Amino acid sequence: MSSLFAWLVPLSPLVGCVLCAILAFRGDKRIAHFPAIVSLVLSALASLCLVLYNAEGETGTTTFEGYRYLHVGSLTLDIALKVDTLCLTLLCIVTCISTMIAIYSRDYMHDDPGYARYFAVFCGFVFSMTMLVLSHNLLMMYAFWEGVGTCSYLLIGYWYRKPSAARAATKAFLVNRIADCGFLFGILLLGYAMGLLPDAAKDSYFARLNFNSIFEALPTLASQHPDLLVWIGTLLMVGAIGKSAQFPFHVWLPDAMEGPTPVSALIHAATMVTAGVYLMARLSPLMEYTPSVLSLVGWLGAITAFIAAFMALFQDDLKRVLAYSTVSQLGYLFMALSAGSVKGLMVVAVTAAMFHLVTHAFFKALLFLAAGNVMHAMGDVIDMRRFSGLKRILPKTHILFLIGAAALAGLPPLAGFFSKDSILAVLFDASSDGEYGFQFKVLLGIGFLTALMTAVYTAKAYFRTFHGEELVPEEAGHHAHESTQVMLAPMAVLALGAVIVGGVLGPTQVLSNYLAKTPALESHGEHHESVWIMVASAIVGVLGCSLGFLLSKQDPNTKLQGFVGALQDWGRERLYIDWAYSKFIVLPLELLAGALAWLDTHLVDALAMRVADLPRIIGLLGQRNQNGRVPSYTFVTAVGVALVALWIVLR
Amino acid sequence: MNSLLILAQTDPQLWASRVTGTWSLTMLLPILLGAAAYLIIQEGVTRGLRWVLLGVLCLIGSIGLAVTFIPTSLDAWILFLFCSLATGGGVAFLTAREPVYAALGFATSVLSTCGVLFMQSALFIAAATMIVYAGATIIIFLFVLMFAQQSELRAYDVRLTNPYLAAAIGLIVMSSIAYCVTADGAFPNTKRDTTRSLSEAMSMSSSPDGLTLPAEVLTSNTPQATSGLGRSLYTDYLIAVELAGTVLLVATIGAIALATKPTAEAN
Amino acid sequence: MHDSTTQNLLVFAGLLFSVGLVGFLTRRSLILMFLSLEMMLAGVSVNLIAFSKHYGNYQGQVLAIMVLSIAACEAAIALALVVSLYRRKATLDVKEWGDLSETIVPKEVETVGSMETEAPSFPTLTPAGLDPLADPVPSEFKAELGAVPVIIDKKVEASSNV
Repeated sequence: MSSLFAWLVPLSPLVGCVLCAILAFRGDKRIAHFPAIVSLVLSALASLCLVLYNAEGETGTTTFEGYRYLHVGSLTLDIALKVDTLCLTLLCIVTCISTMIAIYSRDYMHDDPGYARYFAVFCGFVFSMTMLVLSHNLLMMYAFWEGVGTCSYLLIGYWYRKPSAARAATKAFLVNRIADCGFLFGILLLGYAMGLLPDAAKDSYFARLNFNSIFEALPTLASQHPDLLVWIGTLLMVGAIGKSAQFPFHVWLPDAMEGPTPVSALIHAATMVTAGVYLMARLSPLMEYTPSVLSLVGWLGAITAFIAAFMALFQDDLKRVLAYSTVSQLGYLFMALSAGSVKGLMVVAVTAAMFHLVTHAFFKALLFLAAGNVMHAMGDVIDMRRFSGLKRILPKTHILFLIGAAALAGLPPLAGFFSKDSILAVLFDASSDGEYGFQFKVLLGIGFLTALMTAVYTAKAYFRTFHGEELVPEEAGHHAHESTQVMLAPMAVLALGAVIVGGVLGPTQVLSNYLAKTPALESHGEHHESVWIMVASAIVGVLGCSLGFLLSKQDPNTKLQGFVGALQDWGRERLYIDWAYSKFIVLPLELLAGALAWLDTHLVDALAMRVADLPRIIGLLGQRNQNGRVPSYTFVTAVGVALVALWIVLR
Repeated sequence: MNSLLILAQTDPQLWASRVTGTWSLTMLLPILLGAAAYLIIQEGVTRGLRWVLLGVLCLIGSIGLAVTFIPTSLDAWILFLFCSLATGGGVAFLTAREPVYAALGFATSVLSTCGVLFMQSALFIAAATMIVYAGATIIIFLFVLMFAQQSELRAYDVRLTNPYLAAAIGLIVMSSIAYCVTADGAFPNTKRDTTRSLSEAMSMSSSPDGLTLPAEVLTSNTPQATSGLGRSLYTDYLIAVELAGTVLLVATIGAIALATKPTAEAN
Repeated sequence: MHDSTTQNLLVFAGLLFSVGLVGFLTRRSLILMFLSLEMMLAGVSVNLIAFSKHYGNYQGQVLAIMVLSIAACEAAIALALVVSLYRRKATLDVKEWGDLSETIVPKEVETVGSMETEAPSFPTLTPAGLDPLADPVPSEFKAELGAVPVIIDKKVEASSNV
């Protein structure tokens, strides 16, 4: 029974994807949402059933055999699904939120010519994402890792006639490619390292990459090849921070907002970008042996969280604010994970990260969908300088946005408060460690600072959009109106999640107990809540919101002077990171490519053309004999036959 | 010793012994010579006396060679007759100016070949060749010839392309084949075949050594030979038969597609 | 000692093949060229059957059947091609077809020589309804529908005159 549900989870969206693709080519495109939504609902129900039936089994992890995908010599690659509570958590989030967003998309994408294409890629994404989560093998995970990347590329460039969208899609793809190289090399190196072990001969190369065999071999590997393990950890981390848009790979995510807003909500806020966190959590037994890598992850996460929050402060584009906020929150997740470098804190760190991942998925999806409503009503204008005071025009969206923003700002008792608090608590616990204590003291400080800035920019965006004097851009026309019930209903569900998930899962220890069923995450020690962290983070939240309210009063078009003005410039210019990339990485590469292209046309091609002339010259010699007459040809043949006959005789 | 060199032998004893055995060379060559004589005389009428004399010389040589042949049995006689007729038909086909006569020469040749095949206990193939070639192909070719026939001869029926070069090539090929097949040990002189096929294994149960076909199968012209052929075709060569059938079908479709009158839009 | 019958047949097959080859090389009429090809194939068939008899198995015969069926296919396609070619240029001359020639090759112009040949006479059959022993065809005979009763009438008259 569990096997059936486990396979239904990825295969149902796959069928939906195929049906939508068929509709995209022939048939009525306007009904494309139907197969998509049905298949996603099925998938969500199947994943909930997996949770209810305790599909992970007695041992905490169950592998459902599929079929043999590859068999070459001693190399075999089996397709199988590995189910445990860690992946079930993410699976439920992915399928449920994607169902909500698919329902929302039905009206949001209503009149778009690529309606069926949208749903086809949407379902394709859900298929790839669920397979990624359920992978039992690193190589299979990598395949679907690329699968979600491809779907993301297709959806960012969904309006492919728009140059900015096409550029953003390419940028996202290329940046991810660089990071994925790290991931792939990490996988290959891991397979190589496993091959060095004494009992390696019994497994084929691919079988060594199964999570179960990796975890089994880890103690031996760590004692025999510690340096190699550090390299493996670093390379795998590069893959993870690329997908999760961490510094220095964070540049693609804000641009990815060129895609349709529901896509931003699903892929670039709630699910795909958390794949990096999931990878780190999945490989936490490995990471436990490489605390230095985790420490590096922590620094990168802190930098990302801080600079992204800083840049979000100065954005005028509502979706970009949310995008930078996503980057910043993902940095938070990585900061939480890095606490695993302290002995005995790994389980707590992963739990905190997963907790924040779950709550973040709810409220960030909600915020994006609300921003989508605003965009829908404002005639695709998303610049906050051009509208304000939408409270009366969009009353329901206003409430929903308020819930999401409060959750993001970390106001108690909403979901964001509990999860952010758990991360800060983990960092606080880690800061008492001897070896890495100082680092976590700094990280805790950055965490609080980021929490403050998060509250500030969230409140600022909220007040600028929904309060103040009513201003509507002319693109909206006279029919700026609230969205339909079909769009608001899934948002209401998400809002409910954003309100209660934190309280239900966090303080009650439901999530940590559930995750503890996973063999790698068996709880060792009690995690104690620290009251003063709670109080401090609540104060920070309230303080930040008030500050944001004050800042929203200020006219965005006035040029500030002095230090604050410089900060504003840096924030608006994204800290000049994109500029530096284009000047110091892209430009030299372009010059090199230009030089190579010149060499190619003037040296290689020229040589090839001269060589190609040779057959033509030889052909000229025999051209006269090609007179097209059958008798001449037959005579040549017959003379040849006669010569062969003579040769046989005279031999 | 090569049989082709018989003609150069001076020892009459050896000559006679070989001649009775290998009549093909000594008898078919006269036919060729006779054909050459016919052509040369025909050409010589317009070219002069010397050509006529050459032709007469060829004729005398041909007759002289022909009378040295004495078939030893009735079988050999009939086989010889068919072979001569077939070769003669071929020569007539070669030399006729009228395409219709050429086609008739071809028909003679093919029908006589069928006789040869018949003598070789290939009854089915003899019949099939007769039906397919003489019965169908020739008739249809004649139809087309008539359809394309003009009242007077066309240049392309009379003029030949490079007749001398072609004759030289034909001579070389012919003599090479003759040399090779009459050479000592050109092919194993045995009726034992080690590559037994499935169908023969079925009829082999009565064979004493399990390798040779029963004597009656080998020697007789009885219908058993044909039934064995059928068994072989539909067991060992079933795929080949199916493929041949497919090729026939495709060819039928192709012929119909090619021969239909082109429509206006195709032009 | 050679098997003389097999040897004879092989020589005969080679002869047939060579005659076909020479015919194919020299004849210019498309149809006669195809007939030459058929003759070469007949030579091959004789060869195969001689070996079939010699070795006492059916493989040669089976192969000959294959040759036969392929030859039939070839004849069908060839005829269709000839007919469609004839539709275009109303000639069977193979030299007329040189469209695939390289452009730099000059067109061969045939010098029309003297063709002093008497008008061909074809074998004829007496039309139905006439006495074959009588003067072959009455000069007033016209092979048209409705013409036959007229001739019968005339014959009746002629016999009554006698």
